[in-house]
Amino acid sequence: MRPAPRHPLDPRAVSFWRLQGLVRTALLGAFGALSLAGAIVMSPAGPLFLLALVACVGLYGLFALLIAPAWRYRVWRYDVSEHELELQHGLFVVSRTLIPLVRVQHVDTRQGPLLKYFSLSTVTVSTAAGTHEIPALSDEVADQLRDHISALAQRARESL
Amino acid sequence: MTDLPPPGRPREDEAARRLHPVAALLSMSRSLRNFVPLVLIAVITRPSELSVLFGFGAIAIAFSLIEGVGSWLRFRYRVVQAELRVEQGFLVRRRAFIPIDRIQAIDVSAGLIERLFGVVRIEIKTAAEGTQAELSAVTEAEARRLQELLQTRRDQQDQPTERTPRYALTLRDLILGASTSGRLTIILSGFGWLYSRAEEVIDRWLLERLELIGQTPTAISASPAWIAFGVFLLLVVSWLVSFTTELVRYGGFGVQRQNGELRITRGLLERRSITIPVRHIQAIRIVEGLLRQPLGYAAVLVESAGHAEEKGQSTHLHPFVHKDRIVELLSELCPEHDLTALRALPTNPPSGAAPIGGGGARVMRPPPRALRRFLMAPVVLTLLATGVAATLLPNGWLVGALLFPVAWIGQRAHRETAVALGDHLAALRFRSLQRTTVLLQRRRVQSVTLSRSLLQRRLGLSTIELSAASGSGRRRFSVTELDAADALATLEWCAPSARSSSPPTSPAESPAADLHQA
Repeated sequence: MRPAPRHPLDPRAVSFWRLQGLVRTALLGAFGALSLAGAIVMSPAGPLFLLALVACVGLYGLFALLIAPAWRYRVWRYDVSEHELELQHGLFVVSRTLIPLVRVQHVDTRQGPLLKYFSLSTVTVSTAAGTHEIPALSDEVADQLRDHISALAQRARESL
Repeated sequence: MTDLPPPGRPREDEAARRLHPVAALLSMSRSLRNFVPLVLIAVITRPSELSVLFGFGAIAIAFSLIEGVGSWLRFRYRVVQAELRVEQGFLVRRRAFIPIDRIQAIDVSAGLIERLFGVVRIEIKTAAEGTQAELSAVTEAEARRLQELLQTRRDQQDQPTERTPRYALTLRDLILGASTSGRLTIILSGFGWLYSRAEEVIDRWLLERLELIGQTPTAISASPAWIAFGVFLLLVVSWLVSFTTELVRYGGFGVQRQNGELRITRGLLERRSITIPVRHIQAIRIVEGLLRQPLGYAAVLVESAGHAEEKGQSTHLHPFVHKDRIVELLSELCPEHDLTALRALPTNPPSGAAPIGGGGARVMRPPPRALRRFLMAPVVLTLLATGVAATLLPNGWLVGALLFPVAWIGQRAHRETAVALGDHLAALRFRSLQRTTVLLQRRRVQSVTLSRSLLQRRLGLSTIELSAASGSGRRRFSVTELDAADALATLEWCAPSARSSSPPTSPAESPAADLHQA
């Protein structure tokens, strides 16, 4: 049987996802606090809402900060061969995607502020049917990978 | 109209031409339509002042008239050397030079007004998204001349003319197809909503009348007979609407292949013609609706890159064809598609039978243990819905009767789901409500994803999803609950490296030297 893709992401991906999880939890908390303020004004059952809010945000934070990042990192794998790109990722549903390089239209690297903080980049691969991402690679690896995929795709198209 | 060109071969350059004067009328009616909301607002906010309405109306008509005539005067087109040049725009002038060898399709259509004056609308399409140039009204003779002019130039580098017979829809098929269209369910839900609104009104009205007579007012609309009558009425009206729309849409349907292009014509009132280059076809879908499957009929649709009939929609290659004729139809219209895989799909598989490999294609079906995955979600959902309905409505537990059809469909889905892998083309069959069979050439697969949830993992099952490009961006076709090994084999089938190494049965490993060093 076909072996699973081999290359993991950069180990700093875990820290990046943690930070991302923190930001999201904070946003969720802020949004919750706002709506809670509204709810307390409107209804006498305010404390109950507060409890529910703390529980929800707490659970989400627990998951997004402590559980998901390492889990996601453990599952994430990619592999590039002469003819195809393969990705494997997912938490509850693990999916494995194969993209024939002939179908690749262009390859980009991208970096948001959070990724920049860790000097990580995301490689995006576009086909006529959508975009695929390899997140959180170190800048050098991402640049190398982008050029590599792009060159292989070029060659695959020419050999048609 | 300007003078006609001399007979024989078209000249290299020709004088600029105008559209048929009806174009002014058409553009006028189009811009008048833009005023409708404005006038409506005026009527609603100032219902008593008729003068406002007349004022608005006069302005709208005057403006549209000027715009219509002006844009007609400004519109010129001509064929110069190897280009179609279109100059247009009343206020903002635009010029489009379209190289003839870039033209991919010339679509001709005619709405009611057009047909009344014997003119047609021509849409010129290139690889770029959407219509590149539109000649809103030209005479039919002029349309033929243009088509020939633009066609012959393109054909010079093409192969000699080829042409298949035209597949038309017989009156019987048209009527049968219109009466069994899937549109019914959509319209039904729309009317269902309307009916639930109307019910309240009727109820109130009846109660008032009854009170007048002095009878005890009870909710009439809640009585079983009334509900049954309402449902019946609803069905009849929805069916009539769906029947008529389908009839108008697909009346006079015909499809023909000519020079590597599929020419589809349809429409009873508005005649449309759609041209799809065969090499642009990304996937073919055969859809057997719930009502049509028992009759043995299906609709055949094509996904094409940038040639959707309307944005985000697939084009009907044939709206209503008997399943025994599909192979013949496809091998005549798109012989580029190797149909081995479609032929290998079992027509009516017995449940739990071993995979059958027929005619050089590998056929894979969900194993018997997958049955519960097909039943679980729909049954649980129905039970939940029943629970909710039973607590909210007096006879809500009746919703539980849905359990039977739901379980039946789940069981059918398990039995019918299949993947057949040919040398060049995969056939995927799955069922939601209707049964769909997708034909996808290996070289059209944009990506393939194998996925596995925690539950699937425990049962050794996987879902496989193939993506193809389409006018609306992408189409994903997924087949659920295959044996994990079968799903992996499908993934592998899509891999170009598996193709270059010899037999598809041996696992193809890419040489380590090719791997990217991270």
